[in-house]
Amino acid sequence: MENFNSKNIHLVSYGIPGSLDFEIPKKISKITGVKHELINLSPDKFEWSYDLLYNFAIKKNKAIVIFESYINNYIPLIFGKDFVYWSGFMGDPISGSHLPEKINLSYEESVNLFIKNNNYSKIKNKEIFFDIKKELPSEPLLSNNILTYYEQLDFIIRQNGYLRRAIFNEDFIYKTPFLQPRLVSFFLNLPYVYRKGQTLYKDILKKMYPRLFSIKTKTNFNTSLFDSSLCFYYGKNKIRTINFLNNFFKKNIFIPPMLNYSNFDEDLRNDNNLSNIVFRNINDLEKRKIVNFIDTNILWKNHQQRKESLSSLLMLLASLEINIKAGNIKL
Amino acid sequence: MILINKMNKINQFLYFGYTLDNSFNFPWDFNLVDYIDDFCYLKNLSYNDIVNEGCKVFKDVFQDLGRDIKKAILYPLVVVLTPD
Repeated sequence: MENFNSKNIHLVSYGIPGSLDFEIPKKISKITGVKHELINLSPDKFEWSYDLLYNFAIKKNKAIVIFESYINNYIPLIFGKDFVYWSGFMGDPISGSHLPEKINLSYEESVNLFIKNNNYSKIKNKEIFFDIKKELPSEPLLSNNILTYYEQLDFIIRQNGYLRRAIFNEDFIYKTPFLQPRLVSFFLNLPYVYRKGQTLYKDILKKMYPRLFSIKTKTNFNTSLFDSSLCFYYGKNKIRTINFLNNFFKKNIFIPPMLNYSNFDEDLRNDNNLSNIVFRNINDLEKRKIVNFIDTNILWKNHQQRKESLSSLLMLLASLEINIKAGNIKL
Repeated sequence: MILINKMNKINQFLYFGYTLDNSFNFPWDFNLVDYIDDFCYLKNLSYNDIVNEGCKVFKDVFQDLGRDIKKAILYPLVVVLTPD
């Protein structure tokens, strides 16, 4: 935005009203004057379609969580091929957001930490997942001195093997500054202490774009990079309090500010296209009798009765079924 | 490039939310080792000088990428795909 003619730039963001993903971009657009397309993912505003999800799964040709990925791939369909799409893919991890607390973790320790940090479903079934460790690379690609073992796993498996596929629609042209050799080598050559907490990256952003980064950010818990550490902890604790109250009362008294995409927990408790697609597909999955250690009917009932909030797991199971139907997982 | 020891796609999917590739590669299409020099070219600089150098790298990279582009979409603006 600071480098080009803002008349030719559109911002695109998505979320639901009240979430930071939804509200902060509006401020950015207002301050910069850049045109802004805001996609409201509330179930009464965003049209979920099983056919589109199924076709999307076929096109991806790899099993990934369908619902979130579909939203990212949907964006270029709105604007078409006249535009070039800029993505900040890899910006956070390159600049140091995924650095482990200890720099000298062994490869085995790094694998264990990666597995612990990447349990999407939060399923705790040691018998079923006993072998998950064996499915990761048996040795690193590079020395820990060049790139920490943990980051190697994150960059290769999660960022490249999953997020890259989930974010980009292969039919359109993307620009990815954080995959350019100069930026990658600049950050990866920095000492650990400058990358830790993205310290140097944030100082670069503050120096280069003071106007933009005086705006509050989500990753800084609704405070700006220029705010004091007191403000930061206030912002962080305010969000924690909201989450605590929502959990305590087992319903969203307040919209959770840090929501990604939509409030899927509530969406699945109401009658809409999304909940119908998820319900139908977890039922189809149940009939296959291939995930015998999970009773999808009980999960669905517990979620509806607010005994638990299980939208991530339910949507994961529905995604599994759609991927099976699309042929991305062969039985 | 190292092959996965064992394939179990359903377990992989249920654990990670995606299945693993059969081979493992970095996200960029250049050889990282060629670009890592253990901080050599920055190590004699002060912190502020390194920040300045970073600003220069940013500016150059964005201008190079933006050359000849007439219309652009920036996204996702503040969206994080999955919890970090």
